[in-house]
Amino acid sequence: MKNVTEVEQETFEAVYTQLEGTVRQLEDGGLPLDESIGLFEEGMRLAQRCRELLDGAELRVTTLTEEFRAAAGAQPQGAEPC
Amino acid sequence: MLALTVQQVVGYLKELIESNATLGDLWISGEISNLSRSSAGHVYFTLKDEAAQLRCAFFRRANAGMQIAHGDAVIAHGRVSIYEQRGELNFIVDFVNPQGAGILNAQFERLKQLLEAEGLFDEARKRPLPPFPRRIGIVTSPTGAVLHDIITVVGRRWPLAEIVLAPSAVQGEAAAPGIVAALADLNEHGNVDVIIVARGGGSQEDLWPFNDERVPRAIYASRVPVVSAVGHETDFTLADFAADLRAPTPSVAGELVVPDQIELAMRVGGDVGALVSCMRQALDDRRDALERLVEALDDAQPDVAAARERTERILAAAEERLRRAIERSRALVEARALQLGSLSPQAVLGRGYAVVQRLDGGIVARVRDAGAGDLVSIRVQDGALAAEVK
Repeated sequence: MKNVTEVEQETFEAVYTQLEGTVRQLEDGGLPLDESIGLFEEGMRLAQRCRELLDGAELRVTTLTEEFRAAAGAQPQGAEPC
Repeated sequence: MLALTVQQVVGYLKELIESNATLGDLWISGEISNLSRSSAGHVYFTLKDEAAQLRCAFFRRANAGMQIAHGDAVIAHGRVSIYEQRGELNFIVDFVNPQGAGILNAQFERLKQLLEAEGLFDEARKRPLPPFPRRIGIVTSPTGAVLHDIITVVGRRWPLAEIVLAPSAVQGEAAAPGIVAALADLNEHGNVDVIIVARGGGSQEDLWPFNDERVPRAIYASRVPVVSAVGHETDFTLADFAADLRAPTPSVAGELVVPDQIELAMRVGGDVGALVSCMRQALDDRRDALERLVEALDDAQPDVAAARERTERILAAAEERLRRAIERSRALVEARALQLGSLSPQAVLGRGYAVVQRLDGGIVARVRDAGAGDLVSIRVQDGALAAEVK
């Protein structure tokens, strides 16, 4: 379960949405300087993460019946190859 | 033996005919004659060929929008029944298509109309595709170019995704139930965000499973959005109409379901640019504000230099006035000195006068100042003469 939420947070969509939100907040302005700096650093970190996710990706192809078989064969949960 | 009533017999025949599955779902080809329209909007005609004829009723609800006329060669769909009041055998028509278009086309058109009326093709029901799908279900043949094409396109554009193949026959008898089962499996166990149902080009018969009533219904029933890509760009199947989005080819379907990583990388780059310029702006704003503050402080400070200059100016003016006053005084003094010069004894002596002095230094200005026998000195301009008063 814990694994699932971790993966959830790391989706490109989540990171990218956060990045866009950060940019928008900074663009709207009117923030104290240290908050602006905080947002800037956070945005740069998110952008870096987006790039890493894009660069490190490799398409995976599975077949549904194979998944069934794998799930049936391996008893413990999360035996899915990563 | 009891005699049956007419109603019993006709009713029995009606029951017999209507319980027959074949007679309940029938395509009949023939020529239309004796066509008439009732004031209620029902259409009655006879379907005939060289050897036989059949009375047909085409009720208002079914015939809306259909153009038929006497002499038309048609394929009609409907069910056989008996009109008890007249004891007449009737073909209750629910769909009519031109004969020239063929039976497949007639079936297609009828089913299309049926499903459309049920709302399976409603535009309002089409769901948007997820912008960043993580798992993409594909229903197609596990062998063949279609799967390869989609994998290639998705792998190039969005390798962050995972493709989940639900293999199915896409041609022949096994295709329609196979596609239906694959769609159900993906919905049930696939954990997918979007599904592509795809098949390469082929003849109308090859694509026919996608017009099987079960397939558009299964697509409509899918909980995740379905993109159809069946045959070539010009082929339209009922699966296409029921899908949330129709792609002209399987490759295009691959492009439609995922974003492009190059474009996304550019957008991230744009975001970084925006972050940097925002930060720069924020800092510049602060710097400007600070600058203005410093200027304001400067302005508020007493201006020592100006005061000094002013003092300086006043002093200089005073000095100048003083200098001129001194100058004037000096001129005056000199004039007086000149005046004085003209009055000096020396000057008087110069003009030929003499001064007589006693030996004690007193000036002999009057007769009583000296007596006879006094020795006096007479000063002239270039010296003095000794003399005795007589």
